[in-house]
Amino acid sequence: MAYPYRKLCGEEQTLRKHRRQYVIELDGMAWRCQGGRIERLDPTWDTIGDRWIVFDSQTAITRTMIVEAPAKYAEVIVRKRLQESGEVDGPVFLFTFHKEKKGPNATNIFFTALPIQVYNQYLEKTRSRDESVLLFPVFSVLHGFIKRIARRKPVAVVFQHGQFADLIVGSQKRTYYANRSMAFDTTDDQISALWDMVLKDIDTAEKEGRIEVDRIFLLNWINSASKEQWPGKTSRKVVTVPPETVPVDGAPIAVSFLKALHLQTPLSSFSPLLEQLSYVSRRSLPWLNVSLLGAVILFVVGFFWCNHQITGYEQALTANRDRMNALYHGESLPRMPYEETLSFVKEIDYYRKAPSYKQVVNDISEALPAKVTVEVLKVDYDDNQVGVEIYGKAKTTFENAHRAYERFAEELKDKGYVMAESKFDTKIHQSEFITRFTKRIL
Amino acid sequence: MIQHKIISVVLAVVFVVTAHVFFKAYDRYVTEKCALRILTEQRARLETRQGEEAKKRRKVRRVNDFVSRAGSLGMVPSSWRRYDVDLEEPLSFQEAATVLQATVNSEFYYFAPESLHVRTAVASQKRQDPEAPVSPPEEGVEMEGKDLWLTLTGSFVVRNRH
Repeated sequence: MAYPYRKLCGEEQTLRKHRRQYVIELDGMAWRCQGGRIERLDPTWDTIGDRWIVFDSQTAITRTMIVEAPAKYAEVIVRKRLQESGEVDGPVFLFTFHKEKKGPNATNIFFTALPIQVYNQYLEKTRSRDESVLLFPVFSVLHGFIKRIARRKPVAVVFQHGQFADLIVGSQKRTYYANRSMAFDTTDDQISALWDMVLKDIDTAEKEGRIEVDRIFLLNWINSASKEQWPGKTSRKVVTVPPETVPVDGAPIAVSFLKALHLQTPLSSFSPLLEQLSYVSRRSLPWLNVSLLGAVILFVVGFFWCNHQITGYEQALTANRDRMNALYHGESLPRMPYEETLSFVKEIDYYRKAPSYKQVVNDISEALPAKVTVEVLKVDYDDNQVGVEIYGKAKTTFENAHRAYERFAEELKDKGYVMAESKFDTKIHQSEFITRFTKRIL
Repeated sequence: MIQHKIISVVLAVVFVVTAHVFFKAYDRYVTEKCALRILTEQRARLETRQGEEAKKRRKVRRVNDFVSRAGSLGMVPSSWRRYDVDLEEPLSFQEAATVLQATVNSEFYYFAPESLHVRTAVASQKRQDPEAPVSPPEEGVEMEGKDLWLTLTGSFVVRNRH
């Protein structure tokens, strides 16, 4: 994760109480930093607890190098070269910060090398106790700092401590130059000469890497030179990383190196992967416990909740089953044969409602005008209706006969009869008709 | 750190146990929930069916009540007798009036009318007339001085007294 550059340019801060414990071995002295204060340690580092050790071995060599070999053999070549040049006696432990292909058969590599016996001494020291310890060379912290400040353009990071100045030039993705400059002592003249060396190194890095370094980030330690001694004559922007004020053996001192240290992750350590994982797992053990406890509580709560729900469901199920049983065993009524009775009642009702012969004859008689006689009358009952057929004569003129016939038909209609057929013939002096009516039996 | 490790181990064991117990309970919870849903659906269907059954039962009860009431009131065929009438003869107006009066429903019987054909004597004399609208009485049957020829069919439906 990139660390915003702007944050580094904020106000001076008091050291936050980090949970990590740091042991910083610089310039032949060991310091323990924990709980917002720094205190001096005896050379045995006899501290208890998990910790990060930042060491600055005088025998360590940190630099960038271009080797004529594919990337996967670059370390072998570097080891061989260091041994051949006599810079390191015996086998070499190499920690590679960064390497990249540079041409078909060349690799640019940025590393810290130290004699393997020195490295083993550190490991043995750390493994002698039941503690988890991570090793960080100083340059590893500086390299991590460059990577985390999220700059694409190359910058220079200078860490001045005691009579030394550690320089690293690089960007977020690439490291161009790394070197340690040393003064004879910490007098103003020597420190000024030290800064001149650093600035010359930056110029060299610009020329060799064909880059432009526009910013220099300055990190300090408790024994660094004062700000006034730092370079003032340079065209580059000098950014003093805001320090954190830490009580060192009781006296407050502003230190910015701790800020770079806080940006490191356990996995950027020098230690073997197993040590790194061990550290991470040990540090995360309390959190794991809290998580487990939380999960256990959730499970228990969930268990009771489920049981509560189950009880409710079981009650509902029982109620439903009871209800269903009651529904299943509902009584069924025996059916009595009703068709014959119903038919008979309907029949009787029909007889009651059907107009009698006398009523039909009366209806016709009442409607029959004078001079009209009925010669044939048929009354038939069928299908809930009564059909009436009348054959009659009117011995009068056509006009009178026809009027009488119409009045006769109208009156029957008024009595609920519906004319189905009508036939009227006349011989002027007398007329005859056949009419068929129907009437519903309601 | 040792304490942390012991706590972790204990918590891990408790975690496994509680997880097992929880998931068992959760599984049962899901099963019960599903069972309840199915049973509720079945119950709803059964209740719907029972509603229909209840309607049917009400109808059957009404029909049964009707049959019982009809039986108690004697509205069954076995409590009645039928006397068929098939009359075909010449009658005077007075006699015809009496006959028609007799075919009116009374408090003792119902008359089931079927057919009534009446032909006056005048019409009967023209029985050879092909234009006659209705059939004349059968040949050879004389009006014997009566006013009309009456054909009547029907039945008297009488309730048994005993």
